[in-house]
Amino acid sequence: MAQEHRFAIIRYLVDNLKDVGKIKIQKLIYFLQFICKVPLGYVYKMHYYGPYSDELNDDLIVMQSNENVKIEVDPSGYGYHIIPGTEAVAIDENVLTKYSEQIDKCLGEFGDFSPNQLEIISTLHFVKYVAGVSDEKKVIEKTVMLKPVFPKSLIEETYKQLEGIMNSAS
Amino acid sequence: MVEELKKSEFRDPVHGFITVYEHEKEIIATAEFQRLRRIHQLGLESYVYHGAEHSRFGHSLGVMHLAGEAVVKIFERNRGDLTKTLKGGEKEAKSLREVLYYTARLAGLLHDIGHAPFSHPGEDKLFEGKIKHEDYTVPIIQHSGILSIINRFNDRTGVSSQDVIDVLNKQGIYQFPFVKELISSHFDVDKMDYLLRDSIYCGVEYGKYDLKRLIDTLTLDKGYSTGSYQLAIDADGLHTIEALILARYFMFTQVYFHKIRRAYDIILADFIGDCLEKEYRKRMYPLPSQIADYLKWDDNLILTKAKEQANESQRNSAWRIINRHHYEVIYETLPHPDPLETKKIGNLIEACEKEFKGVRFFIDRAAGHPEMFRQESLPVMRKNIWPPASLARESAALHGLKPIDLHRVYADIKENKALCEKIEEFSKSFMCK
Repeated sequence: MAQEHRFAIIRYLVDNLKDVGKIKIQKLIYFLQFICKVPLGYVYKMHYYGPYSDELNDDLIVMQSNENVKIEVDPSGYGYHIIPGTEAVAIDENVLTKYSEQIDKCLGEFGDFSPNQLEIISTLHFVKYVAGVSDEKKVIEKTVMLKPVFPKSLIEETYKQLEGIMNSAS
Repeated sequence: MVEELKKSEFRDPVHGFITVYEHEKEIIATAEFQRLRRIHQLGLESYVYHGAEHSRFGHSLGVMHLAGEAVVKIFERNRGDLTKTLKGGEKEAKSLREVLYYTARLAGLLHDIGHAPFSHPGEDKLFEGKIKHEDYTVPIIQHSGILSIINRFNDRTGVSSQDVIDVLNKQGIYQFPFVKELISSHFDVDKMDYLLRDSIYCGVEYGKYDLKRLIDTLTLDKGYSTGSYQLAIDADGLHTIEALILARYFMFTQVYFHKIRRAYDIILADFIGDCLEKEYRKRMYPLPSQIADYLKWDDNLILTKAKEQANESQRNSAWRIINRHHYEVIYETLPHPDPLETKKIGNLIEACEKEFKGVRFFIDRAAGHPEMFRQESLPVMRKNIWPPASLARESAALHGLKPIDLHRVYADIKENKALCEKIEEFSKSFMCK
């Protein structure tokens, strides 16, 4: 997908969420690409807070220098707030119209998730569907290994939630 | 009792003596690794800075060395926390340290094994689709003797080939992500090595910074929720990491994006494309699934072909490579141009072609985003303060960095000085309109 099309979608998400952190935008775009099948073309890797795309981070930086978004460091010094910038993206309405159903579905499904919830559910999804670990027990084991801070029971419960979402998506 | 690993020492121009363990020595001896001796680190940069004849071979050894040093220092600073993660005792901590040490070293040693001839020229054109040189790394390990060497030493290193693959593979899952970050991230040991190495071989000072201090101040942050430790820097190392970022910025503008080096990148990409077309009927390297075929491509093969095909009367790319004849820059923007200027430069080529019939023009865009460090989330650790602030918040020095987006127009003008001046004049007035 062309860069300006990606920018239009990112700006649409930021406009709708008003104030969104870097973790949340990374995960929403991840789900938009992998579950809602919007062909954004980002490459994701497993990072400290779950799946993460360097290319998406680069896009955000370019959008910031274009003033399409503002990225502010949280007053605590830890974490970021991405808010709409002063410059509109030269919006290609076709892109937003073309994918509006998927974007709204993604926002409806995951928009209210907390960053922690998004971290667990996206990690489970990455382990199973990107890294290709098919066995349920192994998916949970790997996720527990990657996220030792979260209780195993919460990870198991979230796995069921993910499977429900995946079944309804297919 | 498990037999200890034998050690050798290699003399390195950047790091002095580098320890090499016996399993690493076996990997270094494979044909796939030896090929790196025949991949120049900086393409034809030596046509600008004559010392820049170094290869990916020495750089890979340097990265291996630094990856190990970094793990040792990080472990020293975070021994208690890392041991707690494992819920194990002293013995387990020692073995974890060794496993991470050997894993990081092997990943460092192998991180560049998939490079194409002359390292970077044509990377955006000569690989199919979105394939990059990194996509060849794992297939090379899997389809060579390297895989079995790593596994044969597993009882002594605690490292399996899967561990190394998980660290090197972007989508691989490794329990300690900071090891992946050490090998590939904005602050990886790859950059720490190449900035110093390239500076030394080029004979420039731009890429120098305080490596020892930087490694000494690397540490970990537990983060809010992850439980998997994130690479961080102690506040004492703040200025050293700023120096690394600035060094990289200077190296980009002064060395990597030098106008003559970039001209040869264009010429090399053109010639390598011709060679690939003759061989495969398309201007593409073999796919990662055709690894044996891919590995035969190295600088020596390209230079041999260039020597055979060099034709002075045609002034072809082969002749340019062998005899150092490059295109001339007739217009260039500043490293941080005005957006209007970059927009206009596309029309400049068209105007030049109309005005100077028969002259070939090329446009080159050298872009890098050092300003991304303004937003870098690397935690800066201060005593008794948690959560730590990020580098983005702590560093005022980095706030002035802007993206490099240098545009150049080259012309093939056959050493005709008068014509060159005429085109330069025309370009300047066109861009000023």
